[in-house]
Amino acid sequence: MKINYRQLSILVFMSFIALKFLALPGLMYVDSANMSWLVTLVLMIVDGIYVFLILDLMKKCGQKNIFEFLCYCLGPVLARAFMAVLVVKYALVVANISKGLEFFVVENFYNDLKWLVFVLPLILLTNFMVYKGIRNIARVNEIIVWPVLFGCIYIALKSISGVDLFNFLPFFKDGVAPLFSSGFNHLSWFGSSGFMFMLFGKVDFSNGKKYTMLKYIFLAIALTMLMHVVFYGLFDVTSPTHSFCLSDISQFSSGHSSIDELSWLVVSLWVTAQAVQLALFSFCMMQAIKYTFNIKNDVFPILFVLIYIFTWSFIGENTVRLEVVFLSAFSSIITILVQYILPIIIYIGYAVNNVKRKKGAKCKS
Amino acid sequence: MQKLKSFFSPRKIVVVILLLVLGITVPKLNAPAMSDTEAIVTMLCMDKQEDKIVMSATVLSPGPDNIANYQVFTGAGNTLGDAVEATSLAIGKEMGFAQCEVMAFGENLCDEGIMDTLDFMTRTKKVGRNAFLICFGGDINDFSEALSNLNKEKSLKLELIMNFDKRYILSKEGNIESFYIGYFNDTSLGIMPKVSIKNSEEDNAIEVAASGQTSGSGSEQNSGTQEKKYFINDGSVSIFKKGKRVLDVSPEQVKKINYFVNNSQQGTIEVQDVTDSIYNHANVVMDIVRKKNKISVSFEGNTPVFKSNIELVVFVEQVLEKEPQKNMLKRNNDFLTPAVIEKVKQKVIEDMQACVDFCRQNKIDMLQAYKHFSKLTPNKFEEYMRTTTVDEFLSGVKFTFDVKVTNEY
Repeated sequence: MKINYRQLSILVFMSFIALKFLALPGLMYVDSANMSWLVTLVLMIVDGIYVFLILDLMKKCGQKNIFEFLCYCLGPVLARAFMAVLVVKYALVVANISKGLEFFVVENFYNDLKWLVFVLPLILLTNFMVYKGIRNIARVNEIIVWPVLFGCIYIALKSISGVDLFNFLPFFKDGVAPLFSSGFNHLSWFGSSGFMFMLFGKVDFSNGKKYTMLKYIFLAIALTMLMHVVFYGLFDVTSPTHSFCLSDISQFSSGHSSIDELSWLVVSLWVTAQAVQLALFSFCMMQAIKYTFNIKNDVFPILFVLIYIFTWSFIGENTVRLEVVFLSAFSSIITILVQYILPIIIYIGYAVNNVKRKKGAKCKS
Repeated sequence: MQKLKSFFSPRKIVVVILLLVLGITVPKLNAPAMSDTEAIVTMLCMDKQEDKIVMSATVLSPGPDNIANYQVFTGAGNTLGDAVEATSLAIGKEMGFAQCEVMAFGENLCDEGIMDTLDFMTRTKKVGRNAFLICFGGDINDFSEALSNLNKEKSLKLELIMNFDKRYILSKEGNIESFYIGYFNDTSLGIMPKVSIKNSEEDNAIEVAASGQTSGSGSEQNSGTQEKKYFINDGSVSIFKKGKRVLDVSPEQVKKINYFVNNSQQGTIEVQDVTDSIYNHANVVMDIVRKKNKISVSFEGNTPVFKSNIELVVFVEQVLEKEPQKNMLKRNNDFLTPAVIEKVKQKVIEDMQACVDFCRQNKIDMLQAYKHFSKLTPNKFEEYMRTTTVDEFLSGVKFTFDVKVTNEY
């Protein structure tokens, strides 16, 4: 079952914004203060450039899946090693989304909700969507993308009158160095387009319009910038105390109006979009496990992913703060490896292999 | 493998899922309803009396025909936690603060500092950061009773009154978030509307029945003679520095401060003794329709200069004159005569200068001069701040004012 180019573009759009409206802006403010928006902008543009790089590889691979293509470019040993790294990367993203979602719903949506009551249905939903496959996930995304987009714009615009542009001054007060360290520390929140590796051979490019992907990437960057600028413009020095960018923006004003109720509807919709993202990355994790350990059926990798989500929720509930894991150099390095180095290595491998084959063909002739 | 596959058949998985869902939900049916165990607190008043924290919670409970019923409960304790516990005991339910829309602090508590209280309430008790903050004068029991009555008898909700204040007086959000932002900035300033409950009727007082004596916890059982009390919201505000109340500012002074604030919608200007072709020793009252204050900052040598260019669009609202001139009857009269404009300019500059003097004297930067200098001229201002302190820096700043007045039409 293949998805089309437009569906892929929407998946990229959703994965670009997925992790950006939770704790990221608040966490980033600690390192890069009023220039955090610039770090986000630069990293998102880099991500956007890499999307086109991976897209080009996708077109080159034809009908092969990522593992077959890596075997073709780099050989089976390196291919398996990279698959293992991808498993780790997807596992980090799955943990981040699931924990973020759980924290958001249990802490913010309800006054007193047991984590298990939320996590179990979430696991069942993820199970179902992963089982149904990528086309199902892509179609659900297609349905919710516009309501999510307009909902987020509505929330941002509703609060924009409270934005104090002075909060963004002075520029580069502490120099440029903190921005680099901030970018590195928060890399695990970026590089979400890594899911595209698992869609090699699963995309039909035949009816795709030329600028569809560019349009969605631009929309994702513009939306994220709008939300972050409103966030920093409203909260300034108190930004680090906010863990839920989207809902906290909607709740900033103490005024009451009938339309305020709509904010919660938008936030609920965004929660749904996050759940679909969880399914997408769980699907990728499941596929990567299959390729790494050469497992033929889907049942055990799916079970593993579900147990993994449950375990994170259980452990996270009792001992570990997830931010500690995500702000570690380890997760940043994994992201660099998967998002920024792997596509280049594949490119080089592909080029070298092509040259070798051409030489071989010449020798034979 | 085939055996395993058949073991995990879809039907068996569905049965397991159903059992799991039932396992979680069925035991919950035996638990009491949440409304029986948790009280919805919509307003919280706190003060300090004889070294004890006194808390008064307004609790919302659905009445007959879905009409909201507000009840007030009080409790006291040595610590905030104790006070919450005592109030919960009075209610007979655990207090849920997520719907709390207003937090009111008594003067004693404000003088001691409210940051630890705010931290406790927002972090531990999950009061939303968009709850309004107000400072109240008078007895806490009188205050909460009065507000409850205000709601019941006059259909006036305090949060709606505060919402009006937010737009017309504070010119910014008057909530916890806004207070935090002020506190964590370099000048550590916070602002809260000040309301009072008094025995005597004043110009803008709203009559609310309140008990003179309140005993113990659970003020529904109040005993004592009913005497008339008045709820007074005259537009005065309390100024906080580093979380502690440092002074109260009168409504007149607030109006002067608001010349420096673009968002403020409040204002009338009265100029006296205007005599020209239209007026004869008249007092002219104008409504400020729009206001724009362009603030620019610079340095003259080492002296910081704060320039305020204010553009006022006014509408002549009322003319108070003993013997109106016949010219008043002419059609197409422009009541905003040059003489009036000159008087308005003079008055606004006087008011703004008085406001600067007030801020210098009380060492409070209500003009946001620190923010403008530190954001727009950061390097020079940093150099300047090496010679002074945040409290004293205003005394070295030179202020210049330019006023432009135009008619609404």
